[in-house]
Amino acid sequence: MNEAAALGEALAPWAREQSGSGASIAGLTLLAGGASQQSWRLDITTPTGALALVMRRDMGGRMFAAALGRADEFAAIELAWRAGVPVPRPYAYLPDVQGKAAFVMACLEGETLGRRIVREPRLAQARAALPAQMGRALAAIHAIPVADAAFLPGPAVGEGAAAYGLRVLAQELATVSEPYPALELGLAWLRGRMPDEVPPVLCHGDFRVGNMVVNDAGLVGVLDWEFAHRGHPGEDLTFGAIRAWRFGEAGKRYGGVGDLAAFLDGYNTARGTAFSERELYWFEVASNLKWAIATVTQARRHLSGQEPSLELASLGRMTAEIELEILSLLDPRHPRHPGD
Amino acid sequence: MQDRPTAPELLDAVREFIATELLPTVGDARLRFRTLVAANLLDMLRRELALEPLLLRAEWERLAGLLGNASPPPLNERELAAAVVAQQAALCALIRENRAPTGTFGVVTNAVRAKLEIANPRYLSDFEPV
Repeated sequence: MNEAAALGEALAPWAREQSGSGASIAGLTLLAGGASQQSWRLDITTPTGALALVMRRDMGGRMFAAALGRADEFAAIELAWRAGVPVPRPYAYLPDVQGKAAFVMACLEGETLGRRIVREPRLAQARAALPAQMGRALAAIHAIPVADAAFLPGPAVGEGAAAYGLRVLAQELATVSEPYPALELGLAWLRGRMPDEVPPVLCHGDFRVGNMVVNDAGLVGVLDWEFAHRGHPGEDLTFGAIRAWRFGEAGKRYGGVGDLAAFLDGYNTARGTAFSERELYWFEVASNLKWAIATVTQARRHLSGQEPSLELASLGRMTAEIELEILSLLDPRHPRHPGD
Repeated sequence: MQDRPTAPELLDAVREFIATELLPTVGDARLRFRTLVAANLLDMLRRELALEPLLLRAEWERLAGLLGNASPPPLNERELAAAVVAQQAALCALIRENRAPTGTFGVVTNAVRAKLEIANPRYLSDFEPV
């Protein structure tokens, strides 16, 4: 029996429990797979109609020390769903699907590929709406009571949220034996000018174009919650703004689709905050470091034999692109440099 | 001494095969993406074969100057690469201790640019701070 058929058999009892004795699995297709997890499209036929779902299933590996297992990722999506954040409706956490933990959520229809979202003519209207929509969605995520997210990783007692984020970055880089002087310069720059601390919020951790489902009208839902944690809101406010997530449209500083100002306005208005581009510069540098270090550590997953993959290997040669951006942001001659 | 095709000529042949014969037959979108990645990596290797010996030597000179290292550069390519890594590691330690010598930013920027000459020269030439 192939993997899909075996998983379908394992899921059939849940499908009947969920949608009645007449329900059956009509299709199971692998959407993405890796050493840490798989995503499957799961179609269920019920007496009242078809149900399009996605199953995310653990594979044992962890992309980063900070990445969540499926139980915590499901719990984070449930929190967001109850708070009215646009996310796929969470259906069930299933602790044992063929020996691995999994969860099932709704399948949202739309585009997720960043390169298409920033360029396709049919998505022009979506691009105009997306920055403000993403700002409002992020405000809704950050408004979730952080006490409800105590199960997620976060700052130690007495540690600031920004300091925690910086500590995690340095720890990740320290796991790599090869030297990266540009990244060390970035970390030193950040350490030398710590921003004002604010109480931690529930951070999505990977909030950017590429993890958004987008249709002609814009944002449909926020995906990929495996890096959720408690942290400084500046992290999420800048991760989607870094050059790497503009998909070649470097001048459109929010996600390659529009203005950072529209995104920040959407966020600040919805949340009653006043984050400015200037004070977020520190976090933009930190977000670039986060992605640069991720390319380094993901390439090591290939190099260690943990997950042999041409794509992961190639990320190791992408690090220099992000290093150039980091050095450009550190340079006092940068047009947006906030000064010392 | 190996017969022709030379290493760069072989890389070109494999790249051409992937781009013109293999790629058009690949339907699956994710497999297409990885096939393109493979072709791009062969381009990268070709640039590396041509440029890396000179870039590596220049990087050694800059790091030695910055760190006040008076010893002569290793002549052997592999030892030269190891010496560059050792100097980079020494520089990283100084940066972490807040004792980076004057000129560090320029030397590190040159090293990153040298990596991009091979990894992605178009990204490098198109780059503008925004």
